[in-house]
Amino acid sequence: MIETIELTPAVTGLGNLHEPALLALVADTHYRIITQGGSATPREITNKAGEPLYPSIFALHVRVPPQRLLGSYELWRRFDVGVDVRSFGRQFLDVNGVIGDVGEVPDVLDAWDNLVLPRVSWAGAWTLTRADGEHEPSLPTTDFLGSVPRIAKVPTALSLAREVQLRRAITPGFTPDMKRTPVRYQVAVGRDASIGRQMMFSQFVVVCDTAERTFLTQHVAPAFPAEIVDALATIERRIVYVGNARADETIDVHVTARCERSSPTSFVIATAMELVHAGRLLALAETRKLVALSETVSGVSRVVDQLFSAHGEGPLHSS
Amino acid sequence: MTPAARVITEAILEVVRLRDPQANEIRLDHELVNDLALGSLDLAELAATIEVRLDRPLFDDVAMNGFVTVGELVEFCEQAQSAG
Repeated sequence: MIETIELTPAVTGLGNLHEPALLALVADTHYRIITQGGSATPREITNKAGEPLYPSIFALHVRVPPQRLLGSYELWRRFDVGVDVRSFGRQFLDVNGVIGDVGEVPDVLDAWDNLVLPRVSWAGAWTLTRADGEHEPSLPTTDFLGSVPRIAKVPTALSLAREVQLRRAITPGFTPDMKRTPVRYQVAVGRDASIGRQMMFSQFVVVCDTAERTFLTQHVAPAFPAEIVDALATIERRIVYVGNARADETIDVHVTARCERSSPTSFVIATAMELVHAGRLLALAETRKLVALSETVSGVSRVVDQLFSAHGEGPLHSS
Repeated sequence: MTPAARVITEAILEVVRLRDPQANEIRLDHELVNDLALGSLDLAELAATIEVRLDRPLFDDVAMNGFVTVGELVEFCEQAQSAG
């Protein structure tokens, strides 16, 4: 399904497109795919016992080409959101999304791999919230998903998520030093989660970005100037979700990061994170962000040289 | 071993091998959780795989965590198949 949307303040506030807004747009369209052809709303998707279900997401992958950074999609711009949803059995959803200029997104999934456009993919499982507040997989009735194509083999994202959980690292060997002081994130009522609710999957991006900023500006020495951190633009993000947190709970974010020179005028900061609440793993995350020096404040090249001189291209040093 | 039993034990072995690549045998008396250490996501994947490979919805009225042993799961699926 391809939908042309206008980037309004309801989606992105007063700024340009950002990752949580992109994920919300793709999620909206994926719900329209799941419910198309019927009269039910997403709230009316149930198991055979009539209990409402929702698709919980356990693996997310965002890829953004440097030529089409998300910030280049300005407020009020019209663009296309293409989403493809497939089902493995009745339990799992394999979701792919892409955004592009109006008319730029082909309606064939296979053609999306050749596009130089922002891409989103995730794997989800239909989930039931039990009376005690815990969650468990549950199957939607066969009335739903009738319009969703089936796939016969386990989705790649599901297999990857299982491997990542077992080795507790997205990229082997790129893991936080758990003895290092974590960045603490308080899940705020209203901002991050509604009362009694868990965070939406896209809010993990906010948690990771906040932790990344705190880590780079306060937990490493020499610290990164705010002007450089402000200029970070996501080119890739992976999150494997294991649990979730509710409003008023605290998440400890263990972080490691490294700088990589990508060109004479740009560099990449790669981070790996473990999100933990009360000793329970919530998520593993990896992000690669680009800093184009021409877009940062003047004189910043010298600062970057100093940072590379101090930190090298290995893990950033503790303060 | 019936065709359904073969499908189910092969599907279980694939899931178990994610954790233990050396695993090579699934017995009917193996307990899904205690012996094979299958978690809720494992069981959900298993349910989806079995439904896909046996080409029918099977688990509308029963939860996968209600089966203790591989044999119970196999017996349930065989009965559901023969019931049409």
